[in-house]
Amino acid sequence: MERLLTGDVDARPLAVLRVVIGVTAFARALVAYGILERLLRPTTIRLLYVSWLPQLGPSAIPWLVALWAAAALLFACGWWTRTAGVVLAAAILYVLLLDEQTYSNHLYLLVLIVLLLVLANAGAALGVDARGDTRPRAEAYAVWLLRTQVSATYAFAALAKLNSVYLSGATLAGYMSPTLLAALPEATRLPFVLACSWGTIAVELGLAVTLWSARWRRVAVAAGVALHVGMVALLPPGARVQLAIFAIEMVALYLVFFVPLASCGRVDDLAEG
Amino acid sequence: MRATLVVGFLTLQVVVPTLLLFGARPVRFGWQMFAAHTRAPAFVVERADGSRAVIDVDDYFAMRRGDLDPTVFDRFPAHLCALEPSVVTVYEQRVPQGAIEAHACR
Repeated sequence: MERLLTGDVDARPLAVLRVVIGVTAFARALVAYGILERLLRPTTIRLLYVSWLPQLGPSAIPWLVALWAAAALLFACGWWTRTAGVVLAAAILYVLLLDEQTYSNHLYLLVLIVLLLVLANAGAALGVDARGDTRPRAEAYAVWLLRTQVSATYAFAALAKLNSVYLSGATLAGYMSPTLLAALPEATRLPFVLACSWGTIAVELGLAVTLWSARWRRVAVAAGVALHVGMVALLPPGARVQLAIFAIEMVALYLVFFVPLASCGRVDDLAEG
Repeated sequence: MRATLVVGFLTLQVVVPTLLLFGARPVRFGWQMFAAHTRAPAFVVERADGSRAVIDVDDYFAMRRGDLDPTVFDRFPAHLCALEPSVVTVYEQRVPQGAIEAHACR
């Protein structure tokens, strides 16, 4: 445990993850702009989530989104990485808490990943801050926390689905694209929805465990990609951009399971051979 | 310092979603994606001149998520009344073929 807390690992996989997450956060800023613009229309109902949170006026929204997008680009480029990461996480957290309509689980996940990448020193490679660093190292404990975050996300997503309504297929049928369901022969609709519902729980529980196993990791990655592609394909077009962003976040996070933690050490130890 | 950080983060990762599993679903910060689906009620407004119009709920939301807290719709009739002074009554049907509630605007 002490080795995990004080050890370090190759920073390059973390830097690749940082670039993907930064670009994803930039794309999500554009989606957020549309939602925030609609939120501040006089006809839109406000569902305040945190009553004491200062509310921005319509003129401030472009500035907030610009700050979010700029921080995301700097984070992706590894330029002022830690500062950019903290600003990015703060901007997203503000939007997350602004209203019930601006909350989403993948935004919450984005905040946690960005903060963990800051702690991991993900700017140590493949970026402006990393110029001249020939042996970039990242913090092993933060990589381990990124792994546990992936497992927790999948495990709780599966556990929350263990309820009678979801298991009946009604919940997923409510989310599925109506045109897709209508295209299926009537006799196959319920079996299809049930297979998707039960299959999702099985895959999510399986991913939470098998990504940790060197033996099963490649199978887990294939199953995870299939799960996320299936979600994007089956759910309504209006949700697809956000689901695609969530899919990219999760699949990119699989990288941290390929960073060897068992052999993590300090740079000094490694230099001594 | 790092040990404290790890313990704190694990608490956020595990304890919070575990506690939320024992409450009503859907709930935020618990990774309960697609675990429950909230159906929007049907709304009709009646104006002072006696005319009626079906409301498209999505016109009044920035993003009507499928996992919105169902109690959100309790506030919707008052919102419609406040938006349009000519509206005198908002009719609400929570489920298809279900009972119709009338909310008089004040």
